[in-house]
Amino acid sequence: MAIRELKVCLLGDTGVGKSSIVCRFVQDHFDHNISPTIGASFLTKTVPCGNELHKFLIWDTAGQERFHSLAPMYYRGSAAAVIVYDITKQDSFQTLKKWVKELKEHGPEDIVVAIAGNKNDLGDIREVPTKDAKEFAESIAAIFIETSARNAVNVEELFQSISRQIPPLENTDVDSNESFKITRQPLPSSRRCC
Amino acid sequence: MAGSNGNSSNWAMERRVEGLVNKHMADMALETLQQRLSAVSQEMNHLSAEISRREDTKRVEALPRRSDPHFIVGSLPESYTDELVDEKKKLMPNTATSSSSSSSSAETASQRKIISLLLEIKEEQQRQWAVLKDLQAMIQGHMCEEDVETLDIELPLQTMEQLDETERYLENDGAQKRMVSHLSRMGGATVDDAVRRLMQAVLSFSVGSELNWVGRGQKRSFRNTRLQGVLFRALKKTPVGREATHHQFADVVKKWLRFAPFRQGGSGRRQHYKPPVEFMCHHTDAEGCLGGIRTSRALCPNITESPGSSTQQIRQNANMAADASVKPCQMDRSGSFFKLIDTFSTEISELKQEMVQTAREPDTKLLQGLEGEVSGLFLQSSVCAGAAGVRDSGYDSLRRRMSVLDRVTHTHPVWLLLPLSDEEAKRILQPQPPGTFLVRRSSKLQKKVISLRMDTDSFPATVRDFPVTESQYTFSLEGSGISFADLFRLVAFCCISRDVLPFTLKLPEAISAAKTTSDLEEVAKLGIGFWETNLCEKKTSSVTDESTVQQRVKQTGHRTSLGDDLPPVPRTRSPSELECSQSNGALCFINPLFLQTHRYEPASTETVTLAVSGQNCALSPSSSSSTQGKSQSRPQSIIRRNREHNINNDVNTEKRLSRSPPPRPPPPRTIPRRPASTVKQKSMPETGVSWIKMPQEKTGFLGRLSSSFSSFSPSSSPPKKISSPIPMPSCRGKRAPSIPESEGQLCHLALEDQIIEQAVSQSLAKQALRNAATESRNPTEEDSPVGRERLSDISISTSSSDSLDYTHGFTLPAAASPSRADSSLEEEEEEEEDDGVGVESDQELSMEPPFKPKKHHSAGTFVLPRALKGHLRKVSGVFNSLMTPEKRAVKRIVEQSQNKSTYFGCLVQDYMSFMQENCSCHESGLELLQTVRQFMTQMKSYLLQSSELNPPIESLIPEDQIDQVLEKAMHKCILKPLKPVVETALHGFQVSSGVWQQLKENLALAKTKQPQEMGVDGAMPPDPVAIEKIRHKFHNMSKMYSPEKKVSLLLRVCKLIYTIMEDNSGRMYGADDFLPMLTYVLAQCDMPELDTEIQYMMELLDPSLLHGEGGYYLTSAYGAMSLIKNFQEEQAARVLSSETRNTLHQWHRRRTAQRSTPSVDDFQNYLRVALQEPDSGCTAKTLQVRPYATTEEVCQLCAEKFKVHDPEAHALFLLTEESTQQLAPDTHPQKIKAELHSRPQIQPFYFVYRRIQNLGLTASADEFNGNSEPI
Repeated sequence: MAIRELKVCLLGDTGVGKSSIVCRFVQDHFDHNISPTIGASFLTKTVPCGNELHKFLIWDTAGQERFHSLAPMYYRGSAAAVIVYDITKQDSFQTLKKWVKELKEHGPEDIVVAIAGNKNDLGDIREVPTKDAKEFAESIAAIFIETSARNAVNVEELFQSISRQIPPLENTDVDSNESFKITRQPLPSSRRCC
Repeated sequence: MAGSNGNSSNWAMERRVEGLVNKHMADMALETLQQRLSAVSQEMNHLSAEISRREDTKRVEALPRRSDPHFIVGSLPESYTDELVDEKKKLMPNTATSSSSSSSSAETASQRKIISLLLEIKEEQQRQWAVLKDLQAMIQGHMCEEDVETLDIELPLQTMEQLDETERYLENDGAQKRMVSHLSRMGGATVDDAVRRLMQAVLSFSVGSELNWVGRGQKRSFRNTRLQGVLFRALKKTPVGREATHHQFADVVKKWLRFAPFRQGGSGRRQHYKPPVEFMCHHTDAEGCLGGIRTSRALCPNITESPGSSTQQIRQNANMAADASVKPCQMDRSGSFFKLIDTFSTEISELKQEMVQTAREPDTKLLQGLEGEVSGLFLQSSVCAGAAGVRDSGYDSLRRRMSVLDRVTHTHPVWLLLPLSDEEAKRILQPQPPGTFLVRRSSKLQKKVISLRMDTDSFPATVRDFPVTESQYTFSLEGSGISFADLFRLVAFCCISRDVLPFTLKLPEAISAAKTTSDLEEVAKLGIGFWETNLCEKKTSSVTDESTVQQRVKQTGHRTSLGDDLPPVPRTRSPSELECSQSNGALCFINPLFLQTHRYEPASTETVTLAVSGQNCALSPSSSSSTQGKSQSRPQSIIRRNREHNINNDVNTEKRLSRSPPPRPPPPRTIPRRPASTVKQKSMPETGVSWIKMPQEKTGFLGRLSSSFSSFSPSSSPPKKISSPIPMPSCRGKRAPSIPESEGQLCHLALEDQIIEQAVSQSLAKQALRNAATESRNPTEEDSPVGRERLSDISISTSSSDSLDYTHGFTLPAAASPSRADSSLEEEEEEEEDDGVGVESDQELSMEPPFKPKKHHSAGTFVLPRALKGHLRKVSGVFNSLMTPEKRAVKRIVEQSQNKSTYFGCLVQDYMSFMQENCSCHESGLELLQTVRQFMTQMKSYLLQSSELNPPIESLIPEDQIDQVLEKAMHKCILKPLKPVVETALHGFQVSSGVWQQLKENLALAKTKQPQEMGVDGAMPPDPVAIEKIRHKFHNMSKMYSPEKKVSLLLRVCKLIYTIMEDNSGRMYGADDFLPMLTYVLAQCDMPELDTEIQYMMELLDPSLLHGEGGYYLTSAYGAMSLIKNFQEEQAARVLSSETRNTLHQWHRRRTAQRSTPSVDDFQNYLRVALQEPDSGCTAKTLQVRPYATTEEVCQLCAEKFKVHDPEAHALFLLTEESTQQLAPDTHPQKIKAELHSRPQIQPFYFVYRRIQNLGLTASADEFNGNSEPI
């Protein structure tokens, strides 16, 4: 089985539970005693997907505004970005929208975007309706899922759906079937391999 | 007579068997001696009449006859005669009774009687000894008047102080003379023996273990002592030593010194060792005794046959033996005593030889024949010249010098044909004999394969491919558990052991028979063309050879089993065992990890020794005869023969297995009469899982055996030569620790014949015990006592053959125990010393070569565990072979980069000098770093594509590792020399642009801030001590030239920060907490130079690493540093200035572009290709295209994917803004893509798969250039 390394970038406001989601995802299946990594801000986990193994290299980012400008360094080259918001904080959902916008503008082209509404367990103080988020996600063709890092709800699923969105390698051609015209103008496809 | 003797021995044996269970070994030994004595006495009885008749004349005749007069006897004929008469009188009645009793039919009664009579004889002899001793005292008194009195040095020297004293004393010439004349009386049957006696007379073992010949290591040099000169002079004065050369002398002395620590018994290295399991030995001991008895029995006829000449000697022997049995022997006396025994045994062995010779001869021949074949086949030559054959030493030794590995490595252009297609491989191999092989890369499997010419009779396909699995730095055959560091080792191994293959690989005759390296190089030059030349035609002849070998193998096998009902040693085919049984240096590579894990396999050495003992018994008649042999090689000859046999056996088994696919299970092992083997059988299951690993050490042992074995072959002393029985100090210390020295020697005497067997059986018993012990122990636990014991075991079984070079044998076991580090070091010194000495003299030189290659290759294997344990050694050669393939490859590339005669070297050196002179011509530090990075990338791809690397790197490094290895090599050959220049330049740029100043100010400001102000929330910041620690780490970091190493240090800093954060709170922190903390820490460290460090890392780090953890934290550090750099602005605006934002974005862009540049190996092995149809526009598909795929292959892929029906009419084009270019079939699209990306300004470009325009025209790419009109 081929192992593919997939860089996944975690974006989102501070305190929405980015690291918690990753910790949950990574550590549920790993011995706590084995801690090969330096810290929780960079974690890896390998999951099987089809006839491949996907090794997620998960880059956590600092959500504070002052670090916002550093984000491009983190999300460059990512195969997927998980943008996390807190369903109990409307602000975090607004930040999410900013992130989506930035990714669309500056992010890697074929980046798989996943939107995760965290703290699903605190549904009674919800500020962001599921419906709104879902609609937004659909509008940008992003994966949407509500998770609870605390209760380990949907965390696995989040990454599984990312896995599914990654074009398989084994099947040599990624049949996008998109047609384009070769013109003198630079085509989007020219940048994609960067 | 003989019958009664046998009976008595049976009885004695019985007694012994029960006695041994609870009695001490020494008793046993004594009894064995008694046995011998009794045999001798009986003979004496036989002859006594005659003796008495001839006595008067005999005495006169016999005494001068002794080649080296024995001063006890010689100088006092009168008293001696009296005594003889005395003895005779006493003996006479005994004789009468014993002979009458022997004729009686009542066995037990007669036996008892005999024994009692024998005991009487013994008592008599003891009494005689008392008399003799008195006489001797007188004689010695005389002596003393001459020299001993004036010799005011007490010998042997017990301490180093005494040695110093002696040295001072010997400054005086007179003293030296006195010493010489004193020592020249030590005697000795051969030069070796004489030297040993001298050594023993002069030095105690404890002093001996403080010395070595040259004075290496902690030890003192013996060569430089006056004593050494004195000893040599003394030697020259002895009758045997007259002709001795100093070299000969030095040789023996060296060996003596080397083994002195082991003989030291209770006080030396083996101090901690006590033989714990005597009671386990009864079987084998009984057996050993039996052997001894057999021998003495065998002696009888001989003696009767030569009554005249040997009578006196026998009598003397008896006397001396008796004397030895009761009285503490002093050095000199024991010397003559042993000499007597020697002479005695000489006589016997001569007769014995005549008897045995006939029986042995065919055997030996066969062995030799087989060995010959083996050496041809395995390219090793461990043949012993023991038998009649005189070997052509000139070529053979040369030939021996080249291992299979050497051959394989030298001739790789012939068989390593990576790009070869299936069909070509088939075509080449078809006319070749089965076993011929090629290594190539199968395009089907995308793997390297060994294409093997099969035996068409048994396999339908003529050529079969066996895929090679490449894992991290190792190569192995698919389905095999044995991994090798590189392809050459794998192939070499497969040439010797079939492993998972149906049979072993066969090197073409031209290669396997090549005698010199230049021959091989000739062959190698032919490359693939070799297969077309006549050179490989010769091979057919070797096929016939093969069958002969098989025949011989069969015969030998048959012979062996006839030999002494010894069936071939059974073997479960553990793959590594096969390797080991080769006893050839060629294949010593075993996965270090493997070795490391199973370092302490208790059974191994013992088992090997056992095998030897088994062989020993197989050859029992002959070996026991040779035990009594006549020359210095006596002990050797036994061992040698055993070895020979053993090796052959191994080979037999192996061959039978490897030659005849499918392998038959070997016959079960049944060795009647050898309890030793029973014990072994018992012990095997006990060792359980781990015994599979055993052969590794066996390699060592057998290898050593064979190597020392072959190292003796040139000297080719006929095996039936005598040696004086060497006292066995090691045994003394072991068996009779409480018995005074003389008794120990007595033991040796008694055990003389059986020493090996007993040693073996003892170790066997020990092993059994140990096995039991280990079972209950934690298996992972390091078991150093085992190592120690094994060491002693080896020393026991081998020191009987004193002159054998077993140095290597000790290295491993010694290494096994960390507490013995120093001793193993010494061993290593000795090893070195050996080398050094070897060069000194021709004689040794001629002996060394067969030994050396083996050593060379094995060093890595056997010393490895030590190094892994962190016992660093000074032996650079060892390190050399310790190098991982990766390191070797890196080293080779670096060497090449410094060699201006290669294109690669030119490029690198030119670039280097350019950079060193024109560093500052770059606009910025960034640009500088980028050009460096680009150059490294280009060099990497050049190395990959060019054939300048020889052997090709693919054969050394698994494919997925190649890039990393190249990267490392680039760092070493480019970054290392450039680092100072680059650093200065970077700093210069910073200073001139004002960034340095700004950074310093901002750092100073940031340092004053509290963690909270940096955004740290909750987590504990590191205290000043920790900050200091981090600073220190950063300092270390800046010393590194390799960006990867820098990054790993950076990671350590991050880990430290994390530890501090988490230790104080117990929760996991993500980037939200870490990044502010990192910023704070960097500010606290106040190291503005870190900025360029980070820059250096970011720009030069292998782009493929940027996604990993290193990349992440490097990014974080970079981000933190950027924040600090703009701290003032940030404070003012609370956000980064738009300018900074811009730079970051630019950086991001650049790095992303850069990233795809170098590593075509990147996980994006995609190539986007558009199908351009005249009518339907473009369809783009992303294809998986491997980095090394050619345009041709891509075209095929395209045709398939786009379902093009006329692929021949289509071609792949590269479209850029200005031009359209048809790509040649042998170009690499991915490379082109990478190249385009690495250009400073990336122009849009596309790969288009389209119909070739104007089919009729041969449109060149140039013509298309103008025709950029897209469709």
